[in-house]
Amino acid sequence: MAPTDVTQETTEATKQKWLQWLAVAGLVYLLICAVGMIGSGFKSATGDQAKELFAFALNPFAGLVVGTVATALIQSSSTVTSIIVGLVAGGLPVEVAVPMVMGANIGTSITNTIVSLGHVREKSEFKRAFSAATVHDFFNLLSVVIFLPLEIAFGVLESLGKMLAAPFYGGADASMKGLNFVKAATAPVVDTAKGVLLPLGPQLGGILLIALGIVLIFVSITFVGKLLKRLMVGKAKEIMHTAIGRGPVSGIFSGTLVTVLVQSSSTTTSLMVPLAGSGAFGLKQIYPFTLGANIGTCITALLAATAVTGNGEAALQIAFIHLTYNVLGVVFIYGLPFLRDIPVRAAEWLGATAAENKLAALAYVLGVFFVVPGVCLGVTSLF
Amino acid sequence: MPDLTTIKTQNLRALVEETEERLEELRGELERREEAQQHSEIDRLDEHMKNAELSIASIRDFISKMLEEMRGNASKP
Repeated sequence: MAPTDVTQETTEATKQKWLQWLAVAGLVYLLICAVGMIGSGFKSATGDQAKELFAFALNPFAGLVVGTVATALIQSSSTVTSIIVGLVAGGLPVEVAVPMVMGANIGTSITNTIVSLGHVREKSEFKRAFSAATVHDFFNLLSVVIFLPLEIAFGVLESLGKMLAAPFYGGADASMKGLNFVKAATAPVVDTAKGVLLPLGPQLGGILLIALGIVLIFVSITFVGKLLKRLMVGKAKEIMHTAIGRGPVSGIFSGTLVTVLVQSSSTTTSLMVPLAGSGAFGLKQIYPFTLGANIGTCITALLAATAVTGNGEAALQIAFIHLTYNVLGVVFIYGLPFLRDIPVRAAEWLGATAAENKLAALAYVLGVFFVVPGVCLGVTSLF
Repeated sequence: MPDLTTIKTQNLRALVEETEERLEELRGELERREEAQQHSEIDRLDEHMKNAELSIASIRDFISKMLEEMRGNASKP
């Protein structure tokens, strides 16, 4: 190849990369606008009746099920938590949203579990892959078992989230000056959408605004994920190479970093599945990495909370609750030796069972993510 | 394996030390090989990223494998 051709190719690649980064920036902008639309739409559609409208979810268990099933269906916790942030900004009470966020954590773990089904051809590979996927599920389930009762009894996460959000909204001087810039930047798009849809009536217009917001969040998160995967694969390699042989804390940290870079915990945890399936990585090495993914994914909701209109403090509070919940989950469950191995042992057992009987794997996926939550939702709606 | 009861205590101690050193070397070598394998898998991250995407084909594969297994179990006496 002639040197001029090489130069031309490099210039083309650089140009392509810049365009991709520009697209990422545009999609993140769209995501923030979309969350603002959901907040405005929800406020307009419900008026001051948000609490009454979500009375069914005042039962924390119902909220948990809603979060789980919605995330399992959409296959993106970032999308669901961003929608929740928008709804909270529009008036959804924080105490109703907390179990939903916990449910989103459970729901998101279905993605890597389904990915692991692809390793079915070879028994021992399937066993390793299915265990690597379900260790995330068991960790998230255990986290709910520990923190949901604590939240119901003492409102620990709600208080912590409030405490963390307060400095940004504390007083006139401490108000979100920096973040208001984001709000001002997104206002033209949000206001245009409001201007087009709200004249249709507060309820219909509000509902359409929410629907538009949900579609835009879904589109932006899906495409940002695809682009970042391509753009960040080199960086992710570097981070993961560095983490090898450095112990679990480094694993957690690199899992967090990779997830922040690709903006998707499902990508990170699904990536662990073929790595485990190959036999190169054991469950004990995969486990800390998936925990880091839980922490890293919180960045999306935090980002979304910076530009909402309406109750911005509550929106930031729920975003911080998401972060605190995931950090505390890692600190307590991974930090306490008697809790640490529970997800590993459960996943190893399930992996071995599923490798022998594939029906058990299918029953597990359908049962944990759809049937049990559906039945529970039905039962709780009766009371 | 020699009869351990006939070995002098001093020699036994030296043998333990030597074995421990060897064991440490073996563990180190094992660790090095495992880490090398991990690094080589990470070098294939682009490929793994593609394999980590949801695909209808893999779900179809799983279901057909499951049905095959169920039929196999049912035909067993």
